[in-house]
Amino acid sequence: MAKQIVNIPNIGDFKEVPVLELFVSVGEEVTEESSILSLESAKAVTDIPTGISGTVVALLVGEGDLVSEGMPFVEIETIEALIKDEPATPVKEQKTENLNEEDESPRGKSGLYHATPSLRQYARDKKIPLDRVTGTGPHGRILKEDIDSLVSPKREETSKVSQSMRSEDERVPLSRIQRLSGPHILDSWQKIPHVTQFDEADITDLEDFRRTLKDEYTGAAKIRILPFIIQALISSLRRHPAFNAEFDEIAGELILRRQYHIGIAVDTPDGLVVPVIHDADTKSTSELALELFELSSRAREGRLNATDISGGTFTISSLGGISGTGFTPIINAPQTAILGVSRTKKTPLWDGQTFKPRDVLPFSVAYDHRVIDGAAGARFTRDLSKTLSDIRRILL
Amino acid sequence: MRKITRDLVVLGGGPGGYTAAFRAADLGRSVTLIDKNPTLGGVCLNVGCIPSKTLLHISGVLKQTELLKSIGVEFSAPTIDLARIRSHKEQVVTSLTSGLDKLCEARSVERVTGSGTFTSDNSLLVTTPEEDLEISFTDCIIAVGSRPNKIPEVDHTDPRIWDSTDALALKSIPNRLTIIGGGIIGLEIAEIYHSLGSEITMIEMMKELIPAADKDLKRPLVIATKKTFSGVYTSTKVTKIVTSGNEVILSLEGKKAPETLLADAVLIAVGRRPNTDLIGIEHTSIKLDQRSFITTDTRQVAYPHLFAIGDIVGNPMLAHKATHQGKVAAEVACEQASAFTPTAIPSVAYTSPEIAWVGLTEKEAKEQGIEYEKGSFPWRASGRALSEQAIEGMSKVLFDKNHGRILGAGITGAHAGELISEAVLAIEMGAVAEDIAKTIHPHPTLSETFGLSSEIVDGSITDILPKK
Repeated sequence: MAKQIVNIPNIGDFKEVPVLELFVSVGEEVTEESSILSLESAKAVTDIPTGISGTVVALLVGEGDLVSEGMPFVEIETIEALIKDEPATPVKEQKTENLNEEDESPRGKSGLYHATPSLRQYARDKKIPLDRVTGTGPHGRILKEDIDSLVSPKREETSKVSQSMRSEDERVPLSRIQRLSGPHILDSWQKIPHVTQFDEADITDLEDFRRTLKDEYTGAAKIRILPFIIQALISSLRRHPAFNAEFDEIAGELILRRQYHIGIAVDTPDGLVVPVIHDADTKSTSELALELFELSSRAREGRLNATDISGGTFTISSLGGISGTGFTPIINAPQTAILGVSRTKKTPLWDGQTFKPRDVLPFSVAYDHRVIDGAAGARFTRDLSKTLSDIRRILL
Repeated sequence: MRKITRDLVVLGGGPGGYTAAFRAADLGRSVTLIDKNPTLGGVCLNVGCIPSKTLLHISGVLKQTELLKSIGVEFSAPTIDLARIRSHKEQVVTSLTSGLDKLCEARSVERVTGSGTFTSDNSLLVTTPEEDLEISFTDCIIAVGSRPNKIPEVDHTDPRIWDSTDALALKSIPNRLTIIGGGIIGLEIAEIYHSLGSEITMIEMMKELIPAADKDLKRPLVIATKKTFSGVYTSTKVTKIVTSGNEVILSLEGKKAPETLLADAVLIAVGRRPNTDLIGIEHTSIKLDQRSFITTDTRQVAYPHLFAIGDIVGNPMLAHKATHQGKVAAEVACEQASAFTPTAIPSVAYTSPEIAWVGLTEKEAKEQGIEYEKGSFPWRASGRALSEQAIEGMSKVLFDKNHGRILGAGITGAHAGELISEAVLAIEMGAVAEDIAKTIHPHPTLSETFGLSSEIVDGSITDILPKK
């Protein structure tokens, strides 16, 4: 009964690459082409196949583990071996090994698994090996929630949905970015009680000013409305520090950030990414414009690196380039608020004597109601509206 | 030969087998239960646990009357009506087995009486009193149990050479009963026959009686056996048993043992062997290990669609292990993700005093180099034990020094088998000493002593002086 351990093949010049996802579980049959796992190197996501057909006996790495070329990652019992019954290595030996691998009893592995019998069954039902679960209960007890947190929502759903598949339906896999960001978005949405405050700003004067710059700043340096919004935003954030903050739930404290790292949600062919302009408060509007141009081009080409997308203290989601009168963005936890920018619209505004066509920018601010109350939310959006309506206020 | 096709077949109607059959039926399978006997319940109900407990009840009560004598309540010597005892024992068994018949019927579990042998991975030949029946099946749960080991070169057909089944048949009370094997079965039967008037001599090959249990737990029992039995010879081998004369003559080899021993009956209780040699296992793809056990994974799967449970899959050979494995096998056969992964399986010797233990013993902890903290509460300090004349007892509990969780427990004394369940639950739930110490136990009870032993480790004990 031949069992074969398969090593990570040549994956280029990379070491300690994180395992993004495991596609198979123990007991599953695989063919030579079946992908066992995907690795995320700096440039690309690579699916690693077994190269042999058989049944998965053991997975030797878990999601998030760092692997390098030559490391064993899966044990396969080959199909040939299953068919051939070799008396030299009888079934029972292999079965005994299986037994050990599946041994979930605490005595089997010197007290590793602190889980009650019902939880052990729950883990089996969810196909989560207990050695991958970190217990968060008293004395490290594994709780139901700990197992739930490891259940891939995608795989669970697939099996449910698949029953309603019809022949004309089509299955479309999510993009890598969607797969990666989905759980974080879900987590933010579920954990944070969102309130979204809507407001608008009369940016006619700002747009007039911006038009005067048209010939001065061209090409990559062209200044769009967003860099000004960032400037106005930082000005408002300085006056309302709870919006440029992180909520430490465990300590029950708000961490006010003195740096302004502004994340900008960028639409790319692969999905939404959020590059961060670090220390945006120290940059001029034209510098912000250049950096925005550069970051979004790199985002679209999939060339962002880890520092480009980390460290944000506040996030802007702008759909102004497309359409819409307002939307409710999801906060990027553990941040406390997010700004959603919609499309500027010519609107007749009453100036006291007559209606005048004005450029009105609708925007929304979603905030964490646990740490920011409604009045503060309204005051912040009003402040931002006033600053955008009269950009000179950033001098205040 | 008649050929029939069935869905799920359970071979063996002992506690493991009937539990598996009932569970599978409840989960919607069409179940056929095969046993060579017309009564269900296997060894446990018919010739094991239940009859022995019925008889031990008698010895227990007789012992209580002895104890009362010391505090001023005297009875005259009992008269023993062996026939009535026997029929009472049979009634107890019948009441249980007929209950099983009703449960079978209510679940529409089909019964076949006959011995079954495999003819392939998916067929059995069952020889019933009426006919030969070939049953093809989709799934089979094998639960054929075990039988007493025999000693080579001994004439087991001699009516004075007993196994546990013969002993529990209660045909006669020999004047001198020699018991070979100082394990739980040997000791329980020794107690029964001693209370009915036999002189008991016990011979054990190993250094100690009940080798698996910790010494401190066994001490009260060992002292009791030395007082009441005519002889207890450990580290002793029986080299020859001659049955030609009026008395059975045993030749012994051991430091303190006499060279020869005379007996009117000899009980051989030297362990049990799996019945895997009686069911044509060679016609299946299942391979046996060196000790003739079937190896399974934690799902009780021995080979695709063949499940094995109970005594045939290894030690401990206990009904409560078999029933749980039976459920797992039935559930896996019904495509549930069940597995047999208990943290601990309790053991009980229903002797007087009783001994019960679960999880890691101190001996095992030392062998495995596991650091532990021990709380051991002597029953002398328990009000209930004193009231019950049951001071010869102790409750002890072991906790892991590193993670603090309970590793094992042992109780000796009256009702130890009942008291141990709390420790089993504590182990499965992963309790630390504080959890048990802060669990309110009713006072005055024997069950308190388990809480108190945990208080010792927790450092909150007040009933005795705390550890410095």
